[in-house]
Amino acid sequence: MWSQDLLFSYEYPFTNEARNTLTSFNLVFENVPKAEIEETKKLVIAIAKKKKIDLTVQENSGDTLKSALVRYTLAKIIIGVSNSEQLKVRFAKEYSDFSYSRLKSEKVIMDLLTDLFDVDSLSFDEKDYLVGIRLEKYLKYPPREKTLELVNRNLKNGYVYLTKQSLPLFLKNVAYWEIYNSFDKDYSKAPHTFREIAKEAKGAIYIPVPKIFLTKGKLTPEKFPPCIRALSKSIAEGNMPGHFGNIALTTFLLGIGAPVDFILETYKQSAKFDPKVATYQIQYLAGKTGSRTGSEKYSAPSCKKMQDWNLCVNRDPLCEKVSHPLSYYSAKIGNFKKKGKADERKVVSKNKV
Amino acid sequence: MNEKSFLKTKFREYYLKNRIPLLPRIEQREFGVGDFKKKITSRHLNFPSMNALKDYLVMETPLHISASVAYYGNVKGRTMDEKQWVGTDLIFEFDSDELNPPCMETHDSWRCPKCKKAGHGSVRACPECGSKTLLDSWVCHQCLNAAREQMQKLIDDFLLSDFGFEKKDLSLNFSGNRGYHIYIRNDVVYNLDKSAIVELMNYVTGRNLDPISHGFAEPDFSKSQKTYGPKPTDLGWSGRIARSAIDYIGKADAKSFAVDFNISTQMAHRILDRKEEMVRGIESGLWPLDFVKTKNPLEIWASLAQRFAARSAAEVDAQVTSDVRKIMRLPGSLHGATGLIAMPVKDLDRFDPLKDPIAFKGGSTKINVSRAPEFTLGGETFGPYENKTLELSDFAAVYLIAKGVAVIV
Repeated sequence: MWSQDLLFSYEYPFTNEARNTLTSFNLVFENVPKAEIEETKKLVIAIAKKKKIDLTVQENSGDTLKSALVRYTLAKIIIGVSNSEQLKVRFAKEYSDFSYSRLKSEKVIMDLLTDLFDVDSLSFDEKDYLVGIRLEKYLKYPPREKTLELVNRNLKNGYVYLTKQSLPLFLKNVAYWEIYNSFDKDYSKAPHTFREIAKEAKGAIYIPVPKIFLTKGKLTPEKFPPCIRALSKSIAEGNMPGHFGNIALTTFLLGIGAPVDFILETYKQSAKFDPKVATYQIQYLAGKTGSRTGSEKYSAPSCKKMQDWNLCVNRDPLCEKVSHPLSYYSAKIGNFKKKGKADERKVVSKNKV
Repeated sequence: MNEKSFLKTKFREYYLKNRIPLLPRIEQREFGVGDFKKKITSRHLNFPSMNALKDYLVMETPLHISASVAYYGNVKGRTMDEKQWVGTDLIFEFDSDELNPPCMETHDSWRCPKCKKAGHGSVRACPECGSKTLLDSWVCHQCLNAAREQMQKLIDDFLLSDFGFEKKDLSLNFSGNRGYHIYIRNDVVYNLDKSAIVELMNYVTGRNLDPISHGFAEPDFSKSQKTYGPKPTDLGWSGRIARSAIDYIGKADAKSFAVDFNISTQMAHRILDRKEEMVRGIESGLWPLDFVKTKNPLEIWASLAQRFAARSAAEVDAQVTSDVRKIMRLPGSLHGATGLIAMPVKDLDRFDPLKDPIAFKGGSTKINVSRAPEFTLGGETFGPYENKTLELSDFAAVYLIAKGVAVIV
C-alpha cells in the first residue's frame, strides 16, 4: 500500500511533506537494515564518481517508496559528514533534476509550490502568469539558469511572476538550494559506519583535471582584449555574461586554441555555472556536438559584431588598430604574424591537450 | 593657520552646533575616516551611540567620515570575517561624472603629468602619451540634474513599481559633492545576501538581459517573417523593451535605421514610411521584419533589444551596490573635498544641491585661488579665477580650499 503523500515525499524529498513523512517512520539509525546502508553507499559512491544515476524506483510500492526516502536521508547525512563541496553540489543537482523530471501535472506543481511557500508570499493576480512569488522569497534561491535571473523575469509590485514554462524551472532551482542548504547541520554525532562511507566517498570523488592552454609556454589572459577581459571579469564576479557574451567569450577562447576543459574552468567561477549546460554549449560552439558536429568551430565575433552586441567596452588605443578581438590578442602576444608560426602553435596546442 | 587646520576648525564649529541625523543600528556599523585630500585613512572604527559619534566628530573632527552599509554581529573585529556580517542596507549611488554630461567639457579639465599636455573635459588617459591624467573636476546644476534624473528613474521605474518598495523605505541623500545616494532599509533588504543584491543590481542596469527569456522567438517562416516578441503591456523588462522599441521607431531617422538594420538608406526610407504598421505589430507581440531580406530577423531584433534595454536601464554605480562591505559617506556629515553637507533630501524636486547643503553661512576669509573655472554656489556665481587673491564668503572659501585650489592668505 502506498499513499499519494508517500509518493509526493519520494519525488520531492526536500519538502515539508517529506519531512513529516520521514518523522512518521520513527527512523532509528541503529535499526536501519544493512542492505539499505549498502544501497545508500552505492548511491553516494556513484555520485562521487559522477556516474549516471537513476533515482526511479522499479515499482511504486509502500516499501520501495519508503526505502527511497530513507536512502535520500541517509545519503544526505553521509555527504553532510564528508563536508565535501563537490558531493553536496552533485547530490543537490541529482535530486533536483529528478524532482524536475517528475513535475508533470499542474496540480503537483501547485502542491509543491504551496508546500514550499506561504500563501502570503504568492500572488495570483496577473492573468498571463501562473503565480507571482514575493521578491525576497524568489531571491533566496540564486538563479542557476539564465532565464531565472531576475532581469529575465517579469516583476510587478514586489512579485516575480512565473509562467507555466518558467515555474517548473524555478521549482527545480528551489529544490537544488533547499537540498544544498540542508547540509548546514551538526554531524558530529553521526554513526561510525556513516563516517567510514563518507571517507570512502571523498576518496572516490572524480575531478576533471583542468588542462591549461599554453601560448609560448604560458597562458596570457592579461593580453586578452578589453572586451574579453570584461566578460571574464563578469564571470569572476559570479555572473554569467549572457547569451551573446557567452558566445563571444567561448568562441574567442576556442579561437586561441584553448581546450574545452579550460573554458569550462573559466565558467566554473560563476555562481550560476551549470556544468551540463556549459559543456554542451562549449562543445556546440567547438563543432563537436549538435547540428554542426564534425564541422569547423564557430568563429569568434569581429569588433563590429561585438559593438552590435553591446559587448565592445573599455576600448584602448590598440583597439583602434584592429578589427577583431583575435587580432588584438595576436598583436599583444606577438604571434600569428607568420602563417607557419600559427600552424606550429596549433600543433603544439593540440599535443598539450 | 594652514589649510587643513582651517578646515578642521570650521568643521568642528559645524559639528558642535549641528546634529547628525539618526543612523539606524549605529552600534553594528563600521566607520572609516579621512583627512585633507584623503577620503579614507583609517577604518574599523565603531560607535555605540549617536552621542558617542557626535563626541568623536567634535573632538577628532575628521574631514571625511563614512559608515558601512553592512551591519556586523561583532563590529569590533579587526578582519571582515571576525566582524561577522549579519545584514545590510541596499544602496545605489549616482555620480554625475559617471554619466558624462556635456557640461563636463566646460568646467572640467585634465593635464598629463608626463608630457604636460592639457585640455578640457574629463580625459582619464592622455591622448598623446597614454599616461594617466590628473583631473580637475567641478560640478554645476546641469550635471547634478543628470544624476538626479537617473535617481528619479530608478525610484519610479524600478524601486517602487517593480520591486514594490514603499517610499518610507527609501532615504535619499546628497553625497556632498558630485551626486546622490539612495539607501533602502527594511526587513526585506536586511536579510538579502550578496547574490540577491547582485540580482537586484543586474535588474536595474539590464545586465545579463536575455531577449529570448523576454519572449523573442523564431518566426514561422512558412507563414511570415514576423518575429514573436514582448508587448508594451507586458510586465517589467519585457514591456520596457517593447515600449523602448516603439519609442525608437517613432524617433528613428532613415540614416540611423539603415545602420542598425544593415540596409540601404533608400530601403530605410521605405520602411519608415510604414512606422504605424510596425508599431501596431509590436503592440500585438509580432515584431515585423518581413520588409528586410534577412535569414535571421530574431538575431537582429534580439540584438536591438539589448540596445533598447540600455536606454531604459538606470545608470547606477554597479560596484557600489554590489559591495556589501562598502563604507559610504555618513549622511549629515561634511564632505572633506567641498565643505558641503552630505544632506538627507526630503523633497527631491525642491532640493538645490548647490545651495541647500551650504554649511558655513556668514563670515568671510581671504584666500589665493590658483585656478578655478566659473562656478555656482549658495546662489552666487564665482570665478573664473587664475592666481587671484580675494576675500570670499566662508562657504566659498571652504569649498575652494577643500578642493585644493586655494590657500589662506
